Amino acid sequence: MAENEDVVVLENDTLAEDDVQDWSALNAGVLKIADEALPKREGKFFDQDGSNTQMERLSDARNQMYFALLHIRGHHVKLTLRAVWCPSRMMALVPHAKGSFFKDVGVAHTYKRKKKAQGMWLSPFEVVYLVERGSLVVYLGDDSVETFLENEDLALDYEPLKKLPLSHLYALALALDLDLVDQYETYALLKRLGYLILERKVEVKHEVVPTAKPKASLWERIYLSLTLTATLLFSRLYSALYFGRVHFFSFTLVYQLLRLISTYTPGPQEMSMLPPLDHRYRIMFDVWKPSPGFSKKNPPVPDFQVSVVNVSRVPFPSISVIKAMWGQVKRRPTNVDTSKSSIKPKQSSKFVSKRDERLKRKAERDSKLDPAIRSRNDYLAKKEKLLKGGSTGTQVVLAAVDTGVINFSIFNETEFSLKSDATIADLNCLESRADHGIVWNEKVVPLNKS
Amino acid sequence: MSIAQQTLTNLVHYNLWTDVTVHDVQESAESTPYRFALLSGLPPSKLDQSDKEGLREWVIARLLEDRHSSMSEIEQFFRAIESLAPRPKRVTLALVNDDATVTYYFVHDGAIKPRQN
Amino acid sequence: MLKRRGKNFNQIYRNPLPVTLSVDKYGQIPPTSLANPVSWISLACRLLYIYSHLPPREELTKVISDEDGLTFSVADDQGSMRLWRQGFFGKGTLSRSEPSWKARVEQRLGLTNAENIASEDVTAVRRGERKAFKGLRQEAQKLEQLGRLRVLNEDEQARYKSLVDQMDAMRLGKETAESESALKDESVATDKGEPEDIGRKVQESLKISLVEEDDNFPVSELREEDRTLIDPETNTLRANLEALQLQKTEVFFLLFALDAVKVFKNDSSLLLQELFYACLGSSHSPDNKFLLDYVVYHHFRSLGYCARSGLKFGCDMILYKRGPPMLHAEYAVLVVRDGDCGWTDWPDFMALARVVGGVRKTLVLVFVECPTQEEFDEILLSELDRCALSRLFLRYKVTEVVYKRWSPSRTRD
Repeated sequence: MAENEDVVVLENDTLAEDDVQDWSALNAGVLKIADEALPKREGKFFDQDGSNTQMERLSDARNQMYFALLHIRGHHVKLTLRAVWCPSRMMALVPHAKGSFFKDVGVAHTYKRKKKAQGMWLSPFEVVYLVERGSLVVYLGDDSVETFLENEDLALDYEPLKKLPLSHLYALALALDLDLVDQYETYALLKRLGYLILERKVEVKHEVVPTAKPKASLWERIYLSLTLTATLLFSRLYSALYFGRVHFFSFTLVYQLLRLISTYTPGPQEMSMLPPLDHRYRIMFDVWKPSPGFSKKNPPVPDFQVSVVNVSRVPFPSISVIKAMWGQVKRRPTNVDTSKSSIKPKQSSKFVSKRDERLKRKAERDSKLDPAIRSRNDYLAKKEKLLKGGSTGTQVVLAAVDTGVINFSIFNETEFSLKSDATIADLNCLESRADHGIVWNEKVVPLNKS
Repeated sequence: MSIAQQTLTNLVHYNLWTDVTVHDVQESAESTPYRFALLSGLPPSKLDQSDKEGLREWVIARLLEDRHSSMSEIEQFFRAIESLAPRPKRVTLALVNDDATVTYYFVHDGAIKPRQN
Repeated sequence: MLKRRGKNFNQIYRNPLPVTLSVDKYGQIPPTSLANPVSWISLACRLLYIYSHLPPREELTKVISDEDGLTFSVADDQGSMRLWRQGFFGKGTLSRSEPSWKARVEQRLGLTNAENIASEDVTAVRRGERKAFKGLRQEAQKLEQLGRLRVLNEDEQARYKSLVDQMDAMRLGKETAESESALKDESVATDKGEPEDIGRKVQESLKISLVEEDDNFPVSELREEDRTLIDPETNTLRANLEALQLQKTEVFFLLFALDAVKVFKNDSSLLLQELFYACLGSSHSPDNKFLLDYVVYHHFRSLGYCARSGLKFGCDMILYKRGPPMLHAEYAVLVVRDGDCGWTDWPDFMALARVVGGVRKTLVLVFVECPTQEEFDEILLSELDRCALSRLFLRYKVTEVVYKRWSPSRTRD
């Protein structure tokens, strides 16, 4: 509908996340003051009217912020985590690692002479993050640390060491390189949102192995070679010469005949031609959605693979950069349907979300549909997913940082022609077609009618 | 068809304006790199809630592909009108595209309070 | 030429390109089954029948090129209708997309009794509703402001409450309409028409205006501009002021790829080669903007998409499955020359991404790899017939990238 082109979605806009900070949430339960008098959060005033009501609400909001900042920040003595910053290694050692922070933080250190203790090396990002959130106290290390690593002492003597204020730690950990601050801000933002993050230490090298084609039955092979010959023939004797001179039996044939422009087809051949990646765009972080079974020693394929660039120093990527980034992406083994395995068993709860309800209703509707229509719908839905979200599942996230403001972009590898081997195999499971890329819709023929 | 003529047709027969006239633009000493046409007319209903009823609108027509504009060019728009009538608070800029689409924008003479969407 | 709903769609828009299938003209291929030899015979007969005829060929649509050679338009109604209905080519010069000016004006001036809904009318109703909502909101906000300065009296409070209720009702109505149409979207195989609701509203509003015209809309109140349009003797429009205007990529596709049009300039018809050079303009290089656009246009057209100008969204083209009357455009396409560093900058790109995201389309970057200048020149030296041009376009290669914005706060769970 052309007329809907100018409908701009304002509700549920993605901007909503940039909403005003509500400090009162932090104060809930701690402050008795003005709890009831606090106005409900509502739309911002469009205009200043000079009334007392507006001024009062403004000062209320400010007071909430001041109170929130006044809270005493600290942790229980028994839970205190301490670390020592080693300038020579540009890392911090947590001599005794305990608590829940280390699921995706730190590299374990095994002491040669103290079997019972467990040390942990933290990267600059990790140590700054933990100190910023008030979970870790850091000291400036000296030679005693190196000694401690080798000797049998169970406890490190912090007494002679200097406690590092946050500002000093920033200078030690993040001042070496302009990009470190951007990278840290990206790391901290994702960490605070609850993601699991590991720094990417080494480049990914993909071995280019030509994938073995799935064995096709004799008939399929004959059919395929026939269509291949036909397509080759057509592409040699091109096109419009034939309009009005050749009989056409379907529009799919017309479209096949029109095919002229070559396309990028993901696969081993393209992989082998990848350019080297400009160091500025290298993938910095592997990111996972929170999951209880995560192990940093043996992590699964990341949900997001993030590269960090500063908008004032690094230009928007060209296609060769994007392709090279795809080359650095860790991939799931091909032909594994991940959509099914990722569905977690639903907890039994009386609460039914709108989404679940909609899915349920859809399932009910689907069950009443003709099987032919249902399978056609499944096929079309799968195709839709491949086209809108990238047909190979390979994607890279680019975090563009502008003085602390971070915008995340995803670049998905795709091909609208849908003719890479993996994609064809994927789609042929649902519906066998000579050409999946052509979206001209044939009519659905209900099974029970024929 | 000239941009003036295209805009006139669009105003009268697409947007239903009445009494639309094309005015001559006086060549000024500091000429702009791109030509523009000056029109005026009466819209079927007022274009902004705060407008007076029956206000005559000034329209500047320009080709979209002549991309660049400048403050001095915008000043030229107002000068051109001033030679015919009192300087208006705003003009309507009509950008004419090669697919016969005309898109309209307000250009205000100075800063104004943003409109609530 | 106006929007019709339901089953008619499949009939009116049955051809996705201005090409006639032999089976549509000479009869469909009968169903055959291996087990039934009689069905083979009827199949053979049908094929024999089809091949004994010449392939169907429609009359070429006449496209007129402007003096300057930059605009191309179709003036006759039949040609416009053919190109619009069969592949959605072009745009009405006085309409948003489908040329509907004549029908709209006849409706507006009461020259017809037909009850048609043009897409422009649907928009008008929606804009009217939005305007009414803003009126209510303005009044409510004034009362709110007053309420912050002094206590509202009873009348004012009652008025405020009724305003809020009215606004809530309008919002609710919008939400239900949206969720209903969202439900419709889920079943991919069904055709998506206008939501029932808006169709009904438009019908109603048109009826009201018709009644007004009959009773108290005397001819004397017609705009002077309208009166000159009407022939008083027959009470019909003197002329259709509207033409179907085609973009360069569209004309070239229709001539080069489909051989469905004939292009005239100053009353003489243009050769394919002449049209090619007219579209190319003065820059004879392989990365000429027209060539890049055409390569991408041809690519998506050959996959069965309907590609139209993306001007309103700040991109090069938008892609429809089938076409504008049935489905929204789903993709916004940006054409980029492969190998260009600094082809955009961050703020420009983010602005585009936001606009495209805001209208719920998927942004696709299409990078075009070009042949070298030598290869290009070599082909241009030869006689530029269809074969030579095909050889040229075979040297281009496109890479698509689907862009998405990631909001980490929304994808965690």
